[in-house]
Amino acid sequence: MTTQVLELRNVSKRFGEHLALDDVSFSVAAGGIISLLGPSGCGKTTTLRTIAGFETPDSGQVLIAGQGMVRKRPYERNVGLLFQDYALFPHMTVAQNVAYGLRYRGVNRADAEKRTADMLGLVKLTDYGARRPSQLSGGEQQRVALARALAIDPKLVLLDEPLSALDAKLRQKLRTELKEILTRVGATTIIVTHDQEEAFGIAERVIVMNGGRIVQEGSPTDIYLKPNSRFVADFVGRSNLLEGCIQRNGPAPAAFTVAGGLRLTVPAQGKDRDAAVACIRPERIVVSEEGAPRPPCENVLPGIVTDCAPLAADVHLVVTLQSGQRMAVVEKNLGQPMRAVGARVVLCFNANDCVIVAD
Amino acid sequence: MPLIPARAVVLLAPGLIVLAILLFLPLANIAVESIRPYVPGKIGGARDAPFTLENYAALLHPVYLGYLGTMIWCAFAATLLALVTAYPIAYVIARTRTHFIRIALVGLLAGLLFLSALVRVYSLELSFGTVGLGRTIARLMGVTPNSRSYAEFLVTIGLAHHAIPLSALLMTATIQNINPRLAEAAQALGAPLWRAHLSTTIPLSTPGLLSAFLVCYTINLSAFVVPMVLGRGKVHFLSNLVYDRYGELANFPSGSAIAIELLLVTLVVTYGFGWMVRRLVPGDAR
Amino acid sequence: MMRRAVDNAWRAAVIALLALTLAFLIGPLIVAIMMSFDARGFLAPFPPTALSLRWYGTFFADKSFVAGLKMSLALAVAATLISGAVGTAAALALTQYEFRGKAFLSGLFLSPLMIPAVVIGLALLIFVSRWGIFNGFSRLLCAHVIVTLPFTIRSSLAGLAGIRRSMVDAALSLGANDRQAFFDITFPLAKTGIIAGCVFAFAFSLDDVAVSLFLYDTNSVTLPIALVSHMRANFDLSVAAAATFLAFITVLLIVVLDRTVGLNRVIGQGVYR
Repeated sequence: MTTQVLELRNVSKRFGEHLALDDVSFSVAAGGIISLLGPSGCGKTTTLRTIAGFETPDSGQVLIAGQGMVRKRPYERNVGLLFQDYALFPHMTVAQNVAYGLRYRGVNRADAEKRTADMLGLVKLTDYGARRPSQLSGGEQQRVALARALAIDPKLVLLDEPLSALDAKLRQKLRTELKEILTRVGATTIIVTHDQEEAFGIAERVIVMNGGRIVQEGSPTDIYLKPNSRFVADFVGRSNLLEGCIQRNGPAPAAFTVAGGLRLTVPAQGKDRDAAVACIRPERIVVSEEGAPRPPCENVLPGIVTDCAPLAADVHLVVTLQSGQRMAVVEKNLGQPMRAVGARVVLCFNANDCVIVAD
Repeated sequence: MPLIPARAVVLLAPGLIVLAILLFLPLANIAVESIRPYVPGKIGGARDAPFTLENYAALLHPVYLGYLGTMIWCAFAATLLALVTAYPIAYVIARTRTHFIRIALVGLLAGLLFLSALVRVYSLELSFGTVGLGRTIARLMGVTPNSRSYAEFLVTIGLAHHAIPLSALLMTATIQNINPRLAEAAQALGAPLWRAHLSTTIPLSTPGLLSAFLVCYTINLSAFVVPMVLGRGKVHFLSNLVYDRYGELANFPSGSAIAIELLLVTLVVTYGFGWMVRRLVPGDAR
Repeated sequence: MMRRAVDNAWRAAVIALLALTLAFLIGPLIVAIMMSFDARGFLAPFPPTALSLRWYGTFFADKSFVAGLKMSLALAVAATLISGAVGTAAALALTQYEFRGKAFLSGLFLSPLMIPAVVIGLALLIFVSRWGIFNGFSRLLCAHVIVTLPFTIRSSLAGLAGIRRSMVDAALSLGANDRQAFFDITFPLAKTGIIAGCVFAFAFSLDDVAVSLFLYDTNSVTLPIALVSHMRANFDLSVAAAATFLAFITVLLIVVLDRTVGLNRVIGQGVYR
């Protein structure tokens, strides 16, 4: 007996020469909000379309509420979709759009009207029923599309890059609203996106995809703090990636040699003498002036400031080490004087601030 | 995706059948007919006689070559005239910010295009014939209103009358996609208005101009009503000759030969010109 | 100062050319319309000295004109219905399904446009005679269908191709099956394209001379042919009345086109608006 609303088992799909999905498996529990995150071409949209029924997998199973779906057409699946371009029907009013899904479910007029009103209220567009999609702004269209998808009380809600068509400020606002609505309704949701903020801001679990495969799965924080590969370390958030060689000596913190004579103290991960990549997040590095007092730490790297950009809430620095590598550092902008280009500084971080990933 | 889905075949079938029966087979038929000998008094060429090229050979007679030449020249002059006079109209439609002017002009041009050819031809005959400006203009040209030169003039402006709205609408799309800032930049650099347009807007409209030229020239070559009425029997386009063969003599083989000739001329102009355009105009400017 | 004078002279020249062209385009039509109300009983120099409706009387009383009008309208309606249905079906096949050779088929359906009307007329005449189709209306109908088909196909194609696939997918995901999605979404949105194609087809069928000249007979005369015969025999002003009447129908068709499709959409907006 399964409580998983959605289960994908070993789904593979090929388009001609191109392997779009390579043995993809994951599941979503009821009420869960997960995100498929990855660059374009990674297979996330193909996964979405396979779940919705617009693509048929070459092999594998798609189970919604325990039922095999591979042979079923989209209209037999009870899945709500929010398209990237919203796909609102221009020749129907907002109310007619929202009520469309109820048309072929045997819902009578009165119930349909009530449901439409409820949905419009949910997305805070109560008086918009008589308007046409062309009269709505981008954010309003998105909300109508959401209301339309939710109106059919679907087992699963699929959102395809829901916020990509909106400008930055609107995106933030709608992100919180979206999360609130989805949690309130208790909808089991999958969000497909290439935007990390979208994924991390709304989903409780993130599945990172690349090249048709699932690369890592976990909570946003886990993925950020413990990337399992260079790709994830690079794709998610900013990071400093240093290629080098591990030198293990039992359980003690290992040494890591990088080109240019740089030696780092890193956590005891990986095998001795393996080539690997050390990943250090910019905000974990503490910068002090040369000669100034600094906190004790296991890695002390002297260098010169080559760029200092105050970007609103953060200050982004680029520091070139004596061994030649350029390190990105991020400090909070608390009004402190900006560091001058050419200033001699010292970068400090501990072994625990690094993650060792395979290349 | 090897074969065509069954449903698509069902939908395509009527159209394909109509085309095959009403167009391709008849065309193949007249191709064959054109190489049959003509039997006076009999409808259609002799069925059993061996194939012959006499119908085509007859077309090499100077009189027919003269008709061909007049047709090519009149159609060309009309197209050129149309392009030059339609360009300002297209420019106004593309650049005006007044909604009313745009709608009015587009409506007028669309109306003219839709207007029956006979109405246009009749109006032109009335206005430029003997009860209208005919005598005045003929005197200015140094000919009589009943002369062949005047008839050619009438045919040319008749063809232009149809070509102007068509090319104006075709060129509007091109001009709309040319950045207006370019002409402004030229002016800011010191060029007078005419020079600014000559160096920016007009060269950039070349693909649209060529395309409009092609469309209008092909249509003008195939013209039938205009030369028939305005030509007053003195100007014959190939299409008129085809009709004469059928109407007067029921000489189908010869008519077929002329029809094939007309078809070839049209196709050569369309594809030959198109090929030339592709050679001369750089790929991304098209 | 000099430059501004040059610019002004240029602008004046272009405006003059524009005015002259528009006068050339509209002038003759105005002349014909005015002459149709001429009270004089014969063709006299422009302008009319007095106005009357006599020529309209002559036009509507002339049996050949009225019969021609009826025949033309019947033909136009029949041809539009047939080529509208056939053309829309073909356009549907080309937009809703995936298969190879679509570009080729598309070109094939538009090919009648490349062939001079006289050629089509003669070819059809010889062909239908050989196959024993002697009924005038049927022969004319064949011609009108083939001539109007490219218009209906092209317009329906444009209308259907403009419908985003995501809208149909949205309907499917919401519970509509393929047939329902087609009638709820695709068809209503494609309607304008289909209607525009039918309006074009109707107008071109009404106007056709070249192809009809080969295929008519004494019992099935279209209005344009009746007018041409009359013009050749007797160049009088009843033709002006007929012409004005036809121009009026044209204006009606344009209004229909604007109301359904919107003339602005016919041209598009361009990138720099």
